[in-house]
Amino acid sequence: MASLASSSLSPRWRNTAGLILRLLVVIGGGYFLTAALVSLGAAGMAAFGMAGSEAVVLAAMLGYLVYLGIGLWGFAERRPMPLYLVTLGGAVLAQGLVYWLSRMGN
Amino acid sequence: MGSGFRASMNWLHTWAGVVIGALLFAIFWMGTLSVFDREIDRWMMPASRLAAPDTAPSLEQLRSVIEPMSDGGGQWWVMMPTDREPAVRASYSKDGVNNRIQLDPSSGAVLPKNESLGGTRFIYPFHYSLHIQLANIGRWLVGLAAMGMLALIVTGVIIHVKIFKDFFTLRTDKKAPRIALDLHNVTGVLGLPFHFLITLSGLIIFMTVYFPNAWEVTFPDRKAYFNEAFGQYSRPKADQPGKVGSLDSMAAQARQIWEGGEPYFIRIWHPNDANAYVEMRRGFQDAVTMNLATVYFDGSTGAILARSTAKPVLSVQRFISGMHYIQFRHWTLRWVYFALGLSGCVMIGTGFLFWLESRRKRHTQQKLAGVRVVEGLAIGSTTGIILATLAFFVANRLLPAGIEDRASLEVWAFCVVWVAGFLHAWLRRGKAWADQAWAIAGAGLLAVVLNALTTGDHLVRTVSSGLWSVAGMDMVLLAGAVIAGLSAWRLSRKAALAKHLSGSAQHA
Repeated sequence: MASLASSSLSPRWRNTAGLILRLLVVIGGGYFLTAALVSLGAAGMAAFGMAGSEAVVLAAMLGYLVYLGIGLWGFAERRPMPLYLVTLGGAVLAQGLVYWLSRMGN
Repeated sequence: MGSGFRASMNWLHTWAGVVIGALLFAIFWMGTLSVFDREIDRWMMPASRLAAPDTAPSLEQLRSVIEPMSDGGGQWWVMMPTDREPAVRASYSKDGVNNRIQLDPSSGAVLPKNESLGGTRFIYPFHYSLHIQLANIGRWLVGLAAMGMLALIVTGVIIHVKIFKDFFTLRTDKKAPRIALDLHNVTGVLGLPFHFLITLSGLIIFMTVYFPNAWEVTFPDRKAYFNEAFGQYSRPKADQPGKVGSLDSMAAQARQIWEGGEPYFIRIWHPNDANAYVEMRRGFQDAVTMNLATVYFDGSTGAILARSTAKPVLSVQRFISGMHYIQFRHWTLRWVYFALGLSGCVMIGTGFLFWLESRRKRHTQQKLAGVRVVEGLAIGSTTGIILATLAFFVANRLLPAGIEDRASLEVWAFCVVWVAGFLHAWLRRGKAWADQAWAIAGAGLLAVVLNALTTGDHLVRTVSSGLWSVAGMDMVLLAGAVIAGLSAWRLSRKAALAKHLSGSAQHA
């Protein structure tokens, strides 16, 4: 983002590019983060003794509210660092964890 | 985006509303109509205007009709009639192909094939899939729009803190943007719990579509998850001849297990095999929760092989789904859903109007295209889709019976009129709202007249004979025509007044 901010693009184009980037990371990154949190949350609840299928259903239902929260925060957050750290870094980390755990379990 | 939390929420509400408003209106409109999808079916499929039977038809009687048509392979099933769906639906396999038929519930006679997709196969699937099957794109678009709707509701509440004051505020004497905003707020606040829950429950219904990998860390594969959640039973063929015993006595057993709950879906697996088994699923008419209660019987002995019911959390999911699907018996609530669905349409429409009216002057002065583009979008996606739906109904009554592809021609009528609605809205600037409102009034009236002429079931007859599905549809069409006519008249009068005023200003 630093490179984008210091580039010689006109302010209007910079705003548009920034907006498109934000839409992508909040809607796309936010979704992949949420989906991974649902998978992890289900496994976590199952580990605490809940029936596996019940944990999956509960996690998926709560997932919509988590996604809603991430989405609203993503449009309210002014500082770029936390925004990209959570929506991109968080999504990669959580999806990686899902990949690793599901391979390990089988 | 503005600075500060409230400002960024206001920005999000404004632009998310403009960008997905058209899609949201289509989803809300089709969903509202789907509340009466079976009744629309009766109106559009005159051959199916049967009286609901007093008692459920006997399964053995239905079997004696269906079994001779099948070649004994695969499976066959029947779906029992409900209060809203008088015909028995059935499927049998012949030469490896599954054939779907409908039967008269009293005589067991096979009914002619539907020549229309009607409410259940056009309007209802439009609501959740937009009829875009490719890679499930339609469902994902609807899901994204639904998440957008939740965000719109939350941001709407955040930017609108004076909520309880505006609850009682409707200033019809004020200027257009203020009236639009008041109406947007009244419908938004009054309908808030409904709009939020109907959207969230719609998403929850499709949890396996939108979170397809939720099981990934908990189960080795998807099948293991489904088996635990839904407890489906199956067994292979024995390749020995066999015979299925009395289905009616199995149904009696199922009723006993469900304490009066009725079986509505009955499927016979491997009909002529020694390993034949019968699946019976419980109906939904007696409770909000769309239960997953299923009993499996051994075909020859009638002994119970397996029983399944939903576990607690899945039952909650099925309750939430049931609130959305409204398959339970309750006419008052059904009308409340319809009214609240319409209030959602009004909320989306007035949101568009407020966006337009609060920018019109500035955009005209600064020669910006925004208002012109969004106004066409708003007209085409609101009055345009209403008009397209009416074209679908009118085409249904005008197309002669028996012609090839009759059902798809009705869909074409819908599509052509919808596209024309957008084009008209962009071309006839300033007049399109009134034009389309007049057209809606005319088409609504025409649909009622055509129904009376082509089927003979006019309002006097349907009301006196208690054919409420058709009578209700006609009455809603007439009420809609009156509202559209009044709106058109007011819009035309206002336009004429504005022209007159600007004309006299030029003369002065």
